Amino acid sequence: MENNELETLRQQVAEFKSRLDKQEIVSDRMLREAMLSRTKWMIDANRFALPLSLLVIGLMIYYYYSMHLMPLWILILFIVVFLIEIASNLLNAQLIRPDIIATHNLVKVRRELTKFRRREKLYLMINLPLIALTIILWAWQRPDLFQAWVAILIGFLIGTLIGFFIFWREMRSINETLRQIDEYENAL
Amino acid sequence: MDRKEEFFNRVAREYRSTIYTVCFMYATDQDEAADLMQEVLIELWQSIDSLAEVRNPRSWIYRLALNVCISQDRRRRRHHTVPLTMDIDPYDEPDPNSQQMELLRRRISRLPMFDRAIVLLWLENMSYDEIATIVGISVKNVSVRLVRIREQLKQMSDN
Repeated sequence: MENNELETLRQQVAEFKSRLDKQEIVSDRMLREAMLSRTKWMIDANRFALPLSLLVIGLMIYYYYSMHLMPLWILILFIVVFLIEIASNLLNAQLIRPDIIATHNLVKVRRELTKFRRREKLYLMINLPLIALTIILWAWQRPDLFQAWVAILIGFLIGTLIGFFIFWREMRSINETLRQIDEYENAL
Repeated sequence: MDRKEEFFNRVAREYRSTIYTVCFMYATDQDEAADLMQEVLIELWQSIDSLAEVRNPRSWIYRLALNVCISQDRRRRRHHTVPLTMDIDPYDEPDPNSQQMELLRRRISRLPMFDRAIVLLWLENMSYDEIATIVGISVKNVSVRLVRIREQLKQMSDN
């Protein structure tokens, strides 16, 4: 590309911006909405995860005490799995602090956000087999509820298989993005 | 209106054309540009305190806007964005300048995301040092990238 062509492109952008300067573009309403906005969805999701997990734990304890269908050790195992999930979410949320977008360069931000997505998926895939194992053990403890357990397990296994397929595809795309970022940073 | 709100309003209006230009380059239509603009303003509001201590606000604004545009997950688009207050639609305007800009945008949109950022900053007359700091790569890498990008843009224009 010749230098004069490049200069033409720069001139086009300058002209475009001078036309934009004559436009209002951002209304008072738009600015007000930005000021009233909540934090990003990812941070929100992590904030919701904690009370939601606590709610599930509460319901399980209630279930245990009111119906006595669940052995205590399974209840403890469930709670441990949920606590691991809560801790991993909180740990992961550190990667997407609200100031990251304003204070870090493009490569770093893209890398952190991709790492966040990767960790999120990995945590989920570690927890799913734990939940499956807990259901199997619970079924084994209560053979009288055999039919119900078979139905739950089949449903869970189908869901897990679909989940693993989506997980595998997403992880491939995430790893590819991380590889591209590495290449981009180092290639000359 | 308190001092923080006043500062935010002033910055948002002062840099509106800069922010819009970045959004324009990363969006495919005016609705998406409005969506990105809103996201940039949200980030700006949430980070406005740190802007007061920044030596080069223009560079800071570019980094923020580019980070939002590159990181935005398009599948999670908001659907209640406030429309932009503009009487032109640069994506669909009959005048020659808008059409040339749209042509340039289409060519740039075929580049990878970081390369798009580099060429945009370069078109805004930023130095290699500034571009390197915003993107997070070495100055040498910026210059090599720009040579490749210019070749790619030339090929696109020849085709």
